[in-house]
Amino acid sequence: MLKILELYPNYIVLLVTLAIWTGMILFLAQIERRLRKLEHSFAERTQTEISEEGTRDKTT
Amino acid sequence: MMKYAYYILGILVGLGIGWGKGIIHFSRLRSVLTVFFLFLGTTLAIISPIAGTFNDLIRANLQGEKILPWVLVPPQGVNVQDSTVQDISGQRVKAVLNHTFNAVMANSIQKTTLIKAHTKSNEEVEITDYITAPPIILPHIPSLGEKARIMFFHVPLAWIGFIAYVITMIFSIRFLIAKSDYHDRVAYSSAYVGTAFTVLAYLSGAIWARFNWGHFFNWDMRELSVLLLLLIYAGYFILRSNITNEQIQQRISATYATIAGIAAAFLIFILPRLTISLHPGSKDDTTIGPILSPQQDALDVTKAVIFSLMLAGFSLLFTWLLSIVTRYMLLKKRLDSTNHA
Repeated sequence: MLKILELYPNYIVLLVTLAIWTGMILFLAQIERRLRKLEHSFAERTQTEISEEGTRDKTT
Repeated sequence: MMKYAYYILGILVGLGIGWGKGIIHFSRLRSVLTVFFLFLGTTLAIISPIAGTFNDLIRANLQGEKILPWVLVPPQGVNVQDSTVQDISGQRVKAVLNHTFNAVMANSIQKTTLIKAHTKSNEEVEITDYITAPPIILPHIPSLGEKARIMFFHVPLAWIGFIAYVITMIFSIRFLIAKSDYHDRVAYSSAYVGTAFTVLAYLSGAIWARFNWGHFFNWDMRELSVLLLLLIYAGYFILRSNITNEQIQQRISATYATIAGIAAAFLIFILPRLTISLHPGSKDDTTIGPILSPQQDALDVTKAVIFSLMLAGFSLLFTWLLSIVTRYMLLKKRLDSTNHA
């Protein structure tokens, strides 16, 4: 293992750094997906409430 | 100066594309380009060989550096008659004859070659390894050597951290004028992400300092001033979390962030330049470091391009994080107000 580090130090550092970037990007993409889902459902909920209120106003 | 144009372009491309559609909207282009610039910049910054001249090699050897720089040998740089090798600057040294010397000689007939060598004396070297020069080569920076690679991470993180605090100040002022929730949340999110960037810059700087100056913390003026800056923004978060009335919280934190922005500029640009310190740009420093120095030996296009790629990558990452945090905060506010209603 240490022999590999001595032979290819830059490639090992590159591999570790890219692995960190990949982990971070995947984590951010996951948060982004959840956030968009939440935003979407909240927008839908608000839309439903507005239309329900409109219907109630008309009936009264 | 061309290299300053590259840096400004890197930041403008990053912030421009990242902010393009507005910070409260999802942008696929922003995410894709973050990955592209970060991966490309990181790869080039880490695997590009660092090459210099025989003088750099001799100096690095005298300083006891573990990894000696490659030496750039132009085509036809090897003379078989007197067994000498010439570097890119024109300096010629005698080489110990061995099979690697013969291989370098064969390779350098038409191609630019990079050689690894041990110095026997100031006039004689023993070549141990060689490769055909790749198209991208980083310049050797005296006294930094291989450690210079961390510069491509530490400096952009620190610069974007400061830009984040400027954005906090701008949006705090805009909040004080317009009293909009959006401005308040962007200011708060920017301080949040900016602090994360500054902490990462501080940690990467500490690692660099350990290998370059001997200790993680050296009581250097810039280290102290950035620590003070982090404490100022810690105060901002504590202040914000301890006021329950939302209107007062927004108004006081916006005023605080405006003053903190001015303090940040003083702590970053003025205080470290008034005192003697280890960082480039201090009172006793004749240059302003390998990134900003206008001197001939610090002007390298490859270095400037890779640095601007990293600036673009980190700027895009900043806008992506800022977008996520701002949208989360705005959504939370809307959910809270719906639940209260």
